This record gives sequence, structure tokens and C-alpha cells, in this order.
Amino acid sequence: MTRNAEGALILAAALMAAFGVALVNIAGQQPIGADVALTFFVMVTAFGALHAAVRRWAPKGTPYLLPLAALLAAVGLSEIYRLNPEMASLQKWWILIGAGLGILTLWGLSSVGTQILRRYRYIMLLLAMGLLVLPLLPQQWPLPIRGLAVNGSRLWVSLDLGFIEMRFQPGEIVKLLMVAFLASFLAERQAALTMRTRKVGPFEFPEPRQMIPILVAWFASFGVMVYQRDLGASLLLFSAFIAMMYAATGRNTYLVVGGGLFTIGAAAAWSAFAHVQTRLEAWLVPFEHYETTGYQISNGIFALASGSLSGTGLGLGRPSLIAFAPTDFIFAAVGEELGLVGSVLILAMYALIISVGMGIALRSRDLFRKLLAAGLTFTFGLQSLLIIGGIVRLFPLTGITLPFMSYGGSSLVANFVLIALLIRISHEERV
Amino acid sequence: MNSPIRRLTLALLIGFCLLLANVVYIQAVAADRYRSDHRNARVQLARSERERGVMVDRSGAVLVSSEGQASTFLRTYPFGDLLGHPIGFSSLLFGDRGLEAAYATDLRSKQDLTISNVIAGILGNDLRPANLRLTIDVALQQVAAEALGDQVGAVVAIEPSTGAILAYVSTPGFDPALLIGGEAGPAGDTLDADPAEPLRDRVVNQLYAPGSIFKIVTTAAALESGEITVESTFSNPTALALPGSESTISNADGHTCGSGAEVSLARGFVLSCNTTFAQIAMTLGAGALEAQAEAFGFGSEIPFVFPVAESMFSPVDLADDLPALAQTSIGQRDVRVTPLHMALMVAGIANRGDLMSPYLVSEIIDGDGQIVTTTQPAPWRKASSESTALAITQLMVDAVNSGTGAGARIDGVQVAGKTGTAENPDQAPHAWFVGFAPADQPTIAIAVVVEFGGLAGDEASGGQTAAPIAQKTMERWLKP
Amino acid sequence: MTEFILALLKLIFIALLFLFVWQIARAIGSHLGGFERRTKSKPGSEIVFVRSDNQAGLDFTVDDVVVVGRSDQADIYLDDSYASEFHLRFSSIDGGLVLQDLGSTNGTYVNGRRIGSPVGLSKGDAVQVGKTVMEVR
Repeated sequence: MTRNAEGALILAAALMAAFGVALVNIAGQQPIGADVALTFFVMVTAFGALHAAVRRWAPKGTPYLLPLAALLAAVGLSEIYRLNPEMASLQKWWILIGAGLGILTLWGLSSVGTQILRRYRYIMLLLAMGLLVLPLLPQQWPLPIRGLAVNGSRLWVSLDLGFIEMRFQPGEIVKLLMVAFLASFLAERQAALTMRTRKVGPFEFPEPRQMIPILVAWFASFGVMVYQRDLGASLLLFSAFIAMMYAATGRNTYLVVGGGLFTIGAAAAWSAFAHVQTRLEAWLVPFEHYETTGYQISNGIFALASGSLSGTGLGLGRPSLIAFAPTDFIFAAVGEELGLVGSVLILAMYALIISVGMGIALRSRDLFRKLLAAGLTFTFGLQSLLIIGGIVRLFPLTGITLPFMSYGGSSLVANFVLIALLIRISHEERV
Repeated sequence: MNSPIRRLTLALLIGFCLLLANVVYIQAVAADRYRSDHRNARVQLARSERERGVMVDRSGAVLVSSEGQASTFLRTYPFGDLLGHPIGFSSLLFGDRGLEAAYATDLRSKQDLTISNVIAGILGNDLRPANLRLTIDVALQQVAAEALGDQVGAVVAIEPSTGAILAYVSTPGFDPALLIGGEAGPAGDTLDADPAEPLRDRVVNQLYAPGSIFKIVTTAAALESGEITVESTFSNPTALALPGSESTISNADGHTCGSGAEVSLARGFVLSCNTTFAQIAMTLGAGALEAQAEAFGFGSEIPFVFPVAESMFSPVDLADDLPALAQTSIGQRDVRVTPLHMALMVAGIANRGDLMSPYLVSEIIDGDGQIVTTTQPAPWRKASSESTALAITQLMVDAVNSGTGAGARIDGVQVAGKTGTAENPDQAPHAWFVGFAPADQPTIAIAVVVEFGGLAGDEASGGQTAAPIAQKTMERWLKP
Repeated sequence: MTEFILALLKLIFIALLFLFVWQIARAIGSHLGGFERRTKSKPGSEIVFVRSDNQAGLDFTVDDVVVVGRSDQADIYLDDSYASEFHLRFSSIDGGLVLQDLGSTNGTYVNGRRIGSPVGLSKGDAVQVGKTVMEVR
């Protein structure tokens, strides 16, 4: 596929977003007007600019990721517009900001390449740690940057610039920084981790000394996230750790130990947090707890089932009956209005992004890039898998966002940067 | 280096295949089950936002209609609580009841986006909601409800020759509008908590001891047996000792059945003497009485638009228990009936032994006013021979003219009827009246029950309490 | 009639989504397929870092041209202070592996000998740059 085809598909995705918004208007018997044009304009501007940046700074980058991301954003934006037009206008701003940061990423790496990330790994680690504790800042103090408690979790940071107050979840960016740090660290120590081993029973472990920085990073991030009660994100980060160690060394030991640690962690979380027990219960028997804890999942399932094969049509279902529809449950809302066909297409888009991302990793010759691409793609894929799995009851529900579709600035921005990084890696590897 | 990454990719993609399987299960395989789950608010919302058809009474008076336009339809009930039970409601919070539930598919507009209905629309099919013409006469319904007043009970009036239901009253009633409006939650909770159970449809969903109106069944069994005629005589004690037990059966007033040592079946019926019918039953045996009860539909499901509680003759075999058989023959012991069933029974007598299937909807009418379906009267079962029915009719005429049923007399019209006063342990009796008129060419059959004696309490009797309600109702029908 | 139009629009929207995804999936499919075929017809040589301060164990495959150097623009980053920005080039020519020094400051050694002109490599050859040793496998 050529760059021109990429551009054409991005234009098509922008048209789809406008078409979606127009359908919502038609269904709501409102005049088709400014919102349609605005949506098209935002989509074309954001993804068009990103496309131009790729042409300039990563001309050999993969052409598949941007159109897929654009279409996911288009479907997500239409559905958010249908649920809550005000949220949709905010989402448009976030799409623009996210695309801007994606362009910034491409520009920033244009002269130095992704190797720069490799050199400054400890700075990234420190940055990640700093961002992680940001939400724990006092909620009331003189500095313009404050912690923020939302729904009992302290995941948010408020940046008060005087004229505008911006809120974001640093956890999403931390994810990227940690993956980049790990890729760099593992690329460096790969040989040491692979070769020098110490046998404990049937398992081979690397020299403990080699593991210290990783364990520190793991404990710190995991600890803080558990403290912040963001178990979904800690699970994601932890899985990314294990997956990348496994990718770097090929040792099953890491999977076994990771699985064990996960089980211990899950059991501990289950006994320590009431809301973890509630979620587990809501996952196993949502309909028996319909009035209380199972309400959200049950209604997600009702929404999907009501969509049936071809859906109710955009703007014609009742996705507003689902709690948290624009954020956690966007997949159920889309499934209701676009039906099984729509759900399967969404799943296919995520699967395609995973294939492309992992393809880049597989064909990368440089170890750092290989691990970075694999790590980024894995986090992206696992995040999609976990949240959709939570909605369709494959897993317990974790309160994480669906990349590119869910409403939420931090997540969008992080995923734009993630896609930009993958494109840059593919450009450097010319694959 | 690459094979672990390949395996990670594979793991993620397998995860997505599992997602795919789950989504297919939810959206295709089990979709119908989840979609129609009563807790899925979409089902109810979709209904309330769609236009629904109108219901009119037999003369065209509108009983319920959808007011408003395009997705903001509100069901309005001009007669309030008068017709709450038969019409029912389709409520987001309280589910579906009555004809609104039974004819939901016909009443609902098919103007939606289901593929089948869109295709039907393209083919030019009528997608507008259908309307129902009920057999109920709203004026008659009003008279019956007023006659029953604040008393708890039921009145069912039936056209004997067809089974068409003319009045369907269960008190206390409720206004369906309360259950579908914005205040539906609190209103429904109040109705639910009311000890008088206004949401219970007593016509089909409450079983009562019938008392003496069951003597119609005993009489039919006697006459059908061929061994006993209306002239057959029985002894006339003040209290009949029941064999094999210490207990006795006596008449309501505690005296003999009129004067004389012997009393005929006819006199026993007219004066509603328990002593006489206990002897008849013991002469006939349990088998014959039970067979006759079954012929009248005891223990059978009544074919009706709503589920009807099954009337019960006896849970145990009475063959070896003569005292129990004696008590059963006068409608006590374990005999339990619904008001609808008693109306059908007496309509069967009026219809010369043939019981008709009861129905509430006579026509389904499309958006253009064209009749789509007309209900054809259908016989349900043969309860007795014509001669037996005619003989019982004569007994019932006598009961009204010179016996317990005097309260049901109508000037210029011969009424046939039978009263019942069903005793309840430690509580006031249920007052019953069943009857029909005119006796020779019946156009209306009626069953009235006043629960626990109504306003009269312990003093209540079928003749004093229930018969006047039937009288007022039948008079309205015969002399509009 | 409006219902019919709405239903039609809905189906068009879904069909467009499908077309879009199908278009990309087909392109990715042919891309991946092409890659698979290429690797099968030309099984490239594998190079492993056997001695290195920071990169020991790293491996890469040469199935076309690979430039190794200290620059971030190089295909393979060489973490060795003695290496030049673009130090050397591996090329796969007609199934054979050819090594060329790109005018580096400190030179490239094959099995201990500094090379001047492009040389053919075979399995087991050791390529040394500064303190880093790569082996052909």
C-alpha cells in the first residue's frame, strides 16, 4: 500500500466520522449542519497533519496504522457524539492535541531516531515515577498542579493554568515511558539476562544483580498503582513487564514466575479490596446481582444483545441506558447501534493493528526497536483485549479505556504517541 | 528473539478470537433471550414510545387509546379504574398485564427497523397498530361496579349463547394510568402494599368456596343419574347426622327444610337446604358427583385469554368419606371456584347444558377500520343434557320467585338464579349469586361474589348481599 | 418511508466500514505474504554479537543490505566508542554474504585481518569493530 492510499483512507475515515454524525442527526430528527462539518474538519486536520508528518519525517513508515487508528477514532467519535455531544466536542479537541503530540513525536525523533530513547532510559524511568506520584499531590495547595480524586481513585492530575484547567491521567503516559525504559534496559542486558543464570529447582533465573533495576521499577510502579487503586492499569503494566522479559529472553521461567506473581497479587487484591470482590462477583453472575453490582455488565450485555446482527442504527438504539457508556463501555454502545457486524469489524481493526505492530517488531533487526515495537503493541493489544473482554464477560471488568474509541484525553494522547512511535520504528527498520 | 514475540502475538490474537466467540454468542446465539429479558429497559421503552392500538367496547366507546405523536405516545384510560383488570397495562416498572399484554403484538405499531417489518413496509403491508373491539359493555360494567361499590368482590356477566363477556368487574380496581406515568414507582408500590390487593384480578385469579351455588352441580348429577328426579323425596331432619362421624349438617337457619317429614329435591333447591343435598350426594356417591363437577369444568383449564386459576372439586378421593362428600355437595369443604368459572357454569345451564369458551375480544380491526379477525364463539364442553339444564332452570326460576333468590327479581322479566353463602372459618361468609335472564330466552348470565360478606359482614348472605347486585346489573342489560 | 431510509443508511454505514477494513486487511495480507515469500526464497545470513560491552547476544538477519554504525540512522546501532557513524555494510548478493568497510576511522577486521576492499564471508567468520565481535552463523 502506498502513502497516497494511506492518505485516501484517512480521508475516507474522516468522511465516515462525518457520515456517522450525520446519521445521529437524522435519527434524532435534527438538522444536519455544523457538527458534521466540524467533525470532518477535525478528523481531516488531525489525521491529515499526522499523515503529512509521516510523509516528511518517516516516509518509509508503515502506511497501515494511521487509517486504522483514524477509523477507530471516527467510529468512537460518532458514538460519543450520539451519547453526549458535549463530550464529543471535547473529544475533538483531544484528537487534535493527540495528533499534535504524535506529530511532535515524529519531528522529535526525525534527526536522532528512536535510539535517543535508548540513551535516556533512566531519565524516562524517573519521569515515569514522577508522573506516577503526581496524582498523589495535595488537592489544595498553592502550586497550579494538583492531585484530583475522581470516583475514589486518585488517578487524575489537574493542571490549572489560570485561564483553563486541564485534567489528565498520567498513568497512560507512564505506560509508554515504562515500555520504552524496559525495551532499552532489556536490549542492553539481553545477553546477561539470557546467559548468566542461576538454577533454582527446575527454573533458571538470571543473576539477581541484573534484575535489580527491573524489580525496583516493577515494585515502584505496581505499588503506586495499587495505592491509587487502579488495578486495571497495574495489571496492564505488570503483563507488559512479563511479556517484554519473555520476548527478550525467550525463557518460559518469566511466564511461570509472572503467572505466579499475578495469582498472588490477584488473591491479595481480592482479599484486600472490597471493590475487587464486587467486580469478580459482577463478572461471574452479573444477572443475579442485577440491582447492584451486576447492573453495569448486565446492561452492557443487554445493549449488545439488543444490537443483534445488524444493530439498531446509529442514533437509534438506547446506549444511554449503559452506565459509563462513553468511556468504559463504548464497545457495548457501538455494538448496540452497529450490531454484530460492527462489533466484529471493531475487533478486526484491533487485531489488524496488533498484527501490523507485531509484524514491525518481528521484522526489526535492532533489538531495542524490536522490543519497543513488541512492547508497545502488546500493551495496546492487551488493553483492548481486557476492556472488551470485560464487557463481553471474558474477564472481570477493569476500568481501562478502549484505545482511540473511548472518551478521554490522556488515553487518546498516549495512543497517538504510541502509533507515532510504531510508525517511526517501522520507518527506521524500513519494513 | 522472534519466536517469543510470535507467541505473544498468537496469545493476543487467540484472546481476540475468544472475544469474537463471546460477541457472537451475545449478539447472535443468545441475543433474543437477553434482548427480551424483563430487566432490559429497552423492551419497555420501545413499546411505550410506539403507537399502540385503541380498545373500544361493544358499542364503540373508547376504553384506552394512545395520545400524542411520534415517539411520545401516552396511553390514556378514560374510564380510570373501571376497566383496570381486563385492559391491564404495559408498564416499564411493573411489566405487562391484561389485554395489553395478551394482544401486545397486534396492538403495537410495526413501524420499526426490524428487517422483516421494513420489508413488510416496502411490500405495502399495513404497519399501523391494530385495534380491539371488546365484548364488554362499558355501561353495564359501570352499573355492576357501582352495585358492588366499595365491597371487595367480583361480577362477571356473560352472553350464554356465545361466551362473550359483557361485564368483568374485580374490586378494588386500579387505574392503569398510575402504573405507566412518571409517578409509576411510588403509585405501584402503594398498590402492591394495599392489603385489599387491588392488583389481583379476582375474576380469574382468586378461588372462593362456592357454598350453595354448587348445589347446581349436585342437582345436575342427581338428574343425570336417572335415579333421582326433582320430585324425589328425602327425609327432613333439623340436623342430619353424618354416618361414621360425630358431625352433623344443618340448614342455614338451623330448622328443618320447610314443614313435613319428607322434602323433595325441588323444595330443597328452592329453599337451599343443606340437609337435602347431603342426602342426595350420599345416595349418588362420590364418583357421580365428581364426574358431574368435571363435566362443568372443575379441574380443567378454562380456555381464556388470561390464565384462570383451576377450580377444584376435592384434593382427595371422597368415596370412603361420606361426611366430606356431604359437605362437598353443598359447596363447602375443599371446593374452590373462580367467579369466571361460576359465570360459565350458570351460562351453561342457560345455554341448555353447553358451556361456551369465554372471550373478551370480539374483533381485531386494522388501521383503516377493516375487521381483520372476528372471534367465532366456540363450545368448550357439554355439562349436562338439555332436559337436565331445563329442569335446573325451572328450579332456579322457583328459587327467585319463591325462595332464596328473591332479591334478584326484575319487574316484567323472569329471572333464574341461585344464591350461595359460603362459610369461612372464623370469618364472615362469601356471598354468592349466580343466575340468568330472561329464563326462557337468556341473554345474560351472571356470577356475583362479595368477599367476606362485604359491608354486611357476618350478616351477609347470597340472597341479601349478592342477589341485588346481580339484579341491578341484569336489569341494566335487559332494560337499557 | 423514513424508517426505510434510516435502515438503508445504517446498512450503508456498516457496508462502508466493512469495505474500509477489508481494503486494509487485504493490503496487510499481501504485504505479509510478500515478506514470507521473500524470506523463503532468500534465506539471509544471521549475524550475532558474540562480544560486546552492551550488545552481546543481539542478532540480526541480512537478507538485503544492512548498514551497521554508531549513528541512529544506521540500520543496526553499534554501541562501541571505536565505531564510526556508518561503519560497515553487510550485503546479501546471490545468496552469499559480502562485507564492506564504509571508510571507517578504526577499520574492520575479519578473522583478525583488517579489510580494505569488500570481502565475501562464510559461516563462522568473526567480524571485529573496536571491542565488538560479530560472528556469521
